[in-house]
Amino acid sequence: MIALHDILHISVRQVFRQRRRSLGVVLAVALGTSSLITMLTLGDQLKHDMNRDLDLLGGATVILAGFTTSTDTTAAPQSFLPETVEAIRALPEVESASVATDYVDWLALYWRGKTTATPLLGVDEHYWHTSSLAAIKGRLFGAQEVEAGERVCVLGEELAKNLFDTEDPVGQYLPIRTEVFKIIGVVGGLQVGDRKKFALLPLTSAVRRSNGTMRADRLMVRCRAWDGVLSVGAAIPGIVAQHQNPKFLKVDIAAKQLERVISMIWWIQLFVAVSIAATLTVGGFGIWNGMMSSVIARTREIGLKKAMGAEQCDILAQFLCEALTLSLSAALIGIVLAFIVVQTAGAYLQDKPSMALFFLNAGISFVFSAVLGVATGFYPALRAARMDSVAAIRYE
Amino acid sequence: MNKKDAIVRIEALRKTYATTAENIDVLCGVNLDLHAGEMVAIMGPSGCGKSSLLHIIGLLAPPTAGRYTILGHDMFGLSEDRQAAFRREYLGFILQSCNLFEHSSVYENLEYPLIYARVPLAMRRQTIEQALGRVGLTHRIDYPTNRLSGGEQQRVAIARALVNNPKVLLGDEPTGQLDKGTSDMVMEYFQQIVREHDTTMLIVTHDPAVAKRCTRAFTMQKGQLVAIS
Ligand SMILES: Nc1ncnc2c1ncn2[C@@H]1O[C@H](COP(=O)(O)OP(=O)(O)OP(=O)(O)O)[C@@H](O)[C@H]1O
Ligand SMILES: [Mg+2]
Repeated sequence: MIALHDILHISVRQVFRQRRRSLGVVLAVALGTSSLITMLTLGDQLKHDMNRDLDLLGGATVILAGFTTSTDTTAAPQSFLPETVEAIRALPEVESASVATDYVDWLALYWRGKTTATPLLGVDEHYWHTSSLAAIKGRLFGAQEVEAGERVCVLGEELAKNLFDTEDPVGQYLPIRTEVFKIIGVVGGLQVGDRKKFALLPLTSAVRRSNGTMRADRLMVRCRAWDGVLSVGAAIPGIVAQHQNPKFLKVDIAAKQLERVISMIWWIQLFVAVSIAATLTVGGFGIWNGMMSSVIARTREIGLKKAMGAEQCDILAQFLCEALTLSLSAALIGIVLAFIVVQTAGAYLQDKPSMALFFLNAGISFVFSAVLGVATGFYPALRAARMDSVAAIRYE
Repeated sequence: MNKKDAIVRIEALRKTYATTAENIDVLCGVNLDLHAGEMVAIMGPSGCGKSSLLHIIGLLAPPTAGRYTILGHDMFGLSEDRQAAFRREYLGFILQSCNLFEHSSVYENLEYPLIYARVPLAMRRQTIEQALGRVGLTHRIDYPTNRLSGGEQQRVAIARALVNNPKVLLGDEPTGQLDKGTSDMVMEYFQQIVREHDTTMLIVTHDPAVAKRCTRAFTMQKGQLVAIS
């Protein structure tokens, strides 16, 4: 066979000179490859992001756990031990885990001449992230304040409005039974739900001042994505059992919502996969068809080359190399497109896409395109190589 | 080598085309010796088998029966790749028209035989310039071929056939599409090449003027070659 650099040179030159003919095909394959790389690279990020948005609608990725001792009066009350929660938090599918009091203490809060029925809840510092709450005023209490059992509190936005109207509640002091709590922030937003009427105290402070009615007996676990929910839900009883008595443990999963989300995502993924496959198939057929018509149009050229001593494998190599040039240049364009998309998306998504993953996927797509080029170009190239020399020379 | 030794020797060559309707006997026992430095013309009516003979000599098609040697090498039963190797080494083709590759420059056209003969890149330009020099077209080396005149194109085709210094040049009506003046000029180049390089040339032609310039001329009758005096 002739030298590799000669094959490369003449094939690339040929494709470049006929570039207008193959533009559509190259763009189709480029588009397919770029969507493939983008989906493979951003899949996790998109899932994570979509997860966050979907959660606004229903909390499908949140698992709740508690103890049923309140309904069984013979059993001793139980709390979640810190090591139990720590072990659950360490699961890779878990985004965050928080403990709170299951019991809500309804306080008749006497303030500025009127009594407001105020539910009190003790929560730890992970509560905000786990239930997607954010401060709309002031700040939220953190680990240090929870550990020290400080007298601080965060109000729901409706409670804050009832008590203070337009006045800024942050920095004010609220009398809760015999103690005084400093208001450090207000929570609100889409996720707040009925907690807009609540006063939230550090877990330790709430437990301390409740005379045994409040315990750290409510566990809330947020998973990174919906596909981790079932496995985390299944793992929780075992983890609890390693650290404490799991007899009265009850784990709740939003199974219905989860099912809906999973089936919706499945359809989206199917749709995306089918579109990518369709684009690549169209591109592949385009290469095949283009090479086929090129072989017929260049019959005379093939005859002349054979007459001047080209061997079958020389002709085969040249046409195969042309198909490869098409598919690989499409892959390169696709990789550049995908890079732009991934970079742009990275600016909008909360997590940065992994560049290592991008280059891995780019490499995979490149190999895939090579296979596509060989698969679609082989038969036309073989036809060119096997062409009868005399018939080709007589062809005008 | 003894000048009397034939470069190409053909004995009792037969070619039969098998079609569904009938078997067409195109060549019925052709005998032909071609020597170095001679130019042989083959004439004859259309469809008498001139091109068929040329294609067999050019190793592009197999004969049905007969003996065929080039410089003593038996050409019968060679593999396709060995035939390709002989074409690269010993043969040069010039056809009636559309000899050149489209969308290519003169240089690129002449480069292909060198590529197939594995001539290293560094030696190619010089070789190509030499070959173009023989037909007086060195100044057109980087021209796109579709900008050349018909006569120039045919001269490029000749240069391409010459670029590997073949022992045998095969022309299938190489002047068929040229006007009288250009045809004369091309024939002059052929004569000069044959004279200077001791090449053997076989020309299929309809033009008696072309045949007159050759050393010998044959006409094909009933599948056999008959010498014209
Ligand atoms: N593959 C084939 N199958 C059947 N018949 C063929 C085939 N190739 C050529 N022939 C026939 O063989 C005969 C000789 O053809 P050939 O091309 O050799 O003639 P020619 O002398 O070169 O004619 P022209 O002067 O017109 O070029 C013709 O009758 C042609 O129809
Ligand atoms: Mg003919």
